[in-house]
Amino acid sequence: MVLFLVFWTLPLKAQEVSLKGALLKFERDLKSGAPKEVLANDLKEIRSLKRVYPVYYLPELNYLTGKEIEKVPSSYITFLRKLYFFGASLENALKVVLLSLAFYLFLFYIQGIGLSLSLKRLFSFLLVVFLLLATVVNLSPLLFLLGGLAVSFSFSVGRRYLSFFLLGALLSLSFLISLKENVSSLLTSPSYLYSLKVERDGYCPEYLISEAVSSEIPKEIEFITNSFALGDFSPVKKLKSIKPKSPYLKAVVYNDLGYFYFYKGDFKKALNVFKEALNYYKSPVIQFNLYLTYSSLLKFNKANAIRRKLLKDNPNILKALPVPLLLHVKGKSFKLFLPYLSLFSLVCGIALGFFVSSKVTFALPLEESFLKFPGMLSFINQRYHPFLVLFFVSLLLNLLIGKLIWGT
Amino acid sequence: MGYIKGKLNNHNDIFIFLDFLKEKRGRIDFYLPLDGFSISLCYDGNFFRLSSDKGSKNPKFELIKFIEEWLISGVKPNFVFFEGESCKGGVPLTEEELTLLLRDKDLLKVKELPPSFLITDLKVTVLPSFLVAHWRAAKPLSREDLYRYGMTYTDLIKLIESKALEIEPFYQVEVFPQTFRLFLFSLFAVSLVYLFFPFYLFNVPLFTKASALNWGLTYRLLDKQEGKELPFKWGFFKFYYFGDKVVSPGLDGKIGTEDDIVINLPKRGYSPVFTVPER
Repeated sequence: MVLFLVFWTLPLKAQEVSLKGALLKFERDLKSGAPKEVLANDLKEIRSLKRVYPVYYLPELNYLTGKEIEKVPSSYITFLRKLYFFGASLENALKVVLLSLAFYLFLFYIQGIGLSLSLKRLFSFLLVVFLLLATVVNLSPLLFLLGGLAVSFSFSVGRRYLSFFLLGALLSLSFLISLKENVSSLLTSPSYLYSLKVERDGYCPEYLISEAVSSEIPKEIEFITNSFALGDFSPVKKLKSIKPKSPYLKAVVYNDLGYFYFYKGDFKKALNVFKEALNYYKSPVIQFNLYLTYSSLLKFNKANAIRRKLLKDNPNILKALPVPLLLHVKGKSFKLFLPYLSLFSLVCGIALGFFVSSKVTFALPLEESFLKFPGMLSFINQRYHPFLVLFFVSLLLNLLIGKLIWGT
Repeated sequence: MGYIKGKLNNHNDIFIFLDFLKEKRGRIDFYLPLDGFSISLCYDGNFFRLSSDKGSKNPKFELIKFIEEWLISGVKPNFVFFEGESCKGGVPLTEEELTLLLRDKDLLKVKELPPSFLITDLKVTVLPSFLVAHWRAAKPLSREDLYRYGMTYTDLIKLIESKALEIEPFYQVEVFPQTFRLFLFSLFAVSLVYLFFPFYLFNVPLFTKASALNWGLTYRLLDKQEGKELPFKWGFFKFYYFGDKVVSPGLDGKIGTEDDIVINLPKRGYSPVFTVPER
C-alpha cells in the first residue's frame, strides 16, 4: 500500500517541475552568483527530483560545485585504462626481448653467410636499422616481417627452441597490439562512452548522442528519451509522429510513450503501450514497467506474476527505484581490430627467411671482432638469462614510471 | 642406450670425462655450437680413442685446435655422452698422452696471440717452409692459415718461446670494425632505453579527453575567464580553458606552439547535462 502511494504521488510531483528545469535553474543561479541558500535549495530540489526519474547519478553537480556531492562509481573506463597501461607495458617489455634477440641473431647470421665484407656490413646495417625503426616508430607490419625472418633464420642455424620462442613472442605481441588498439578505440569511441553513460547515469548529453547514434530517426528518438529521463515531456508530440521500422526502435518509442502516460497518471494507456512495446522487444526494462503499471492499477496478481518472473531472470532490476525505466537507443556498433596485416607480414617474413636460408650457406669461422660485440658471446653460448633480465627491467620501469609520473 | 647432454665451462672439465668414460664406458662427442666442429672421445677398455668429425688422420691436432678455438672465442662447447656405446675407429691414446696434451701450459696462452700476425724474424733452417715463405714475402698469417698448414697456435707459442721466430700483430680489415660495432650497438642501446619508458602515456587525449570535456564545459557554463588553468593534470601536462577548446601547452610549456594538444569542446547540446564518464 505504501509502495502504491509512493507510485501515485511521484508522477504528480514530477509534472510540476522537471529535473532538466531544476538543473537549468541551478546553472543560472551559479552564473549569476546567487546566495548560498538559493544554491542549497536548488541542490535540494535536484536531489528530490532525481528520485522521481530514472536518473542514477548526476556527476555534473560535482563539476559545477567543485565538490564531490555525487559519489559516482567507477565505470569500465578505469578498468580499460588499467588494461591499456599493463598491455602497453607488457608490449614494450616483449619488444625489448624480441629486439635484442633479433638484433644478435641478424648480426650472427649475416657474419656467417658467404658474402663480401661490404655486403655483410650493408646487410647488417640495413637489417638492424629497419628492426630498430620498426620497433621504436611502431611500424607493426615491418616489425612482424623482420620477426618472421628472425624465426626462420634461427631455425636454419639449428636454434629451434629460439625459433619457437620468437614465434610465440611475436604472436603474443600481435595479441597485445590488437588489445591495445581495441581498448584505445573503445576509450575514444563516442558510442561506447554513450552506452556507459546511459547505463550508469540513465541519461546522456545531447552532443554525445549526436556523435554516438548514426542515423537521424534513432538520434531523434534518443533525444526525446533523454528529455523524458530528465523529466522534460515537451517533445511528446514529436515522439507520436515518429514511425521507426526497426522492432527495437518501435519498442523504445512505445516504452517512451508508456513512460509518459505513467507520469501523467494515465495507467491504462501506459499499460497498453508497454504491452505493445513488449511485443516488439522482450526486455526486462519493459517488464519492470509493466509490473509497476499493474501495481498502480491495483492488479496485484498480474504484478506479482511479472515480479516472480523478474526475480527469476533479472533480480537486479527489482532493486531500481519504483519509477518506470527507459530503454535507450543503441549506439554505433564497435568495429573490432584484428591484426591481419601483422600476421600476414609474419608469415611473409618466415617464408622469405626460409627462402633466403635455402639459397645461402651458413658456416661459421667466428671472427674475433664479431665476438667483441657486447652480449654476443652470451647469445652464441645460448645464455638467454640476460634477455630475460632485460624483459623484467623494461616491464618494471614502464610500470614504475607510469605509476610515479602519470599516477596510472 | 641413454645419453646425457650438457655444456662445458672449463677445459679442465675434460679430465672428469676421462674418469667418467673409464667407469661407464661409451663415447663422448664434444662440439662447438654452430660451426659444426666436433671431436669424439671413446674408451675401449685399454685406450682412449680420439676421432674428429672431419675424419682427420691427426686427431691430436684436431683436439688442440678444438680447445684453442674454444679458449679464444669464449664459445662454450656442448657435449653428448652415449653410455655403453662401443668404439669405432679413432686414434688410440693412453691416458698419460691425453693428459700431457691437455695440461700443456702453452695452451692457456693462445688468447694472448693476435688473430693475424707478421713474422719479423725467424731461423730458416729449423722452421716449416710455409713460415719461411710468409716471412720472405712479408705476408701476414692468420690462425686459419696456420690450421690449414697443420700447425696450432700452441705450436707457434712454443716456437716463439724457443726464440725460433718473432711476430708482430697485423691488423687486418674486420667485418665489424670497432666504430661500426659501436655505432650499431649505440643504436640498439638507444632503442632499448626508449622501450624502457612508457612513452605511450604521451598519447594525452586518450587519457584526458573526458576530463577536458567535463572541466572545459563546466568553465564554459560558469562563464570563466579564458586562459584559466583547469583543475586536472596528466603527468607533466597542464590544461587551460579557451572558450571553444581546452589546450595543453605540451612539453615546451608554451601555448601557441606546434606541440600544443587541443581538445575541442562541443558547440551545442551540452546544457544542462554535459559530463561523460571519466573514470
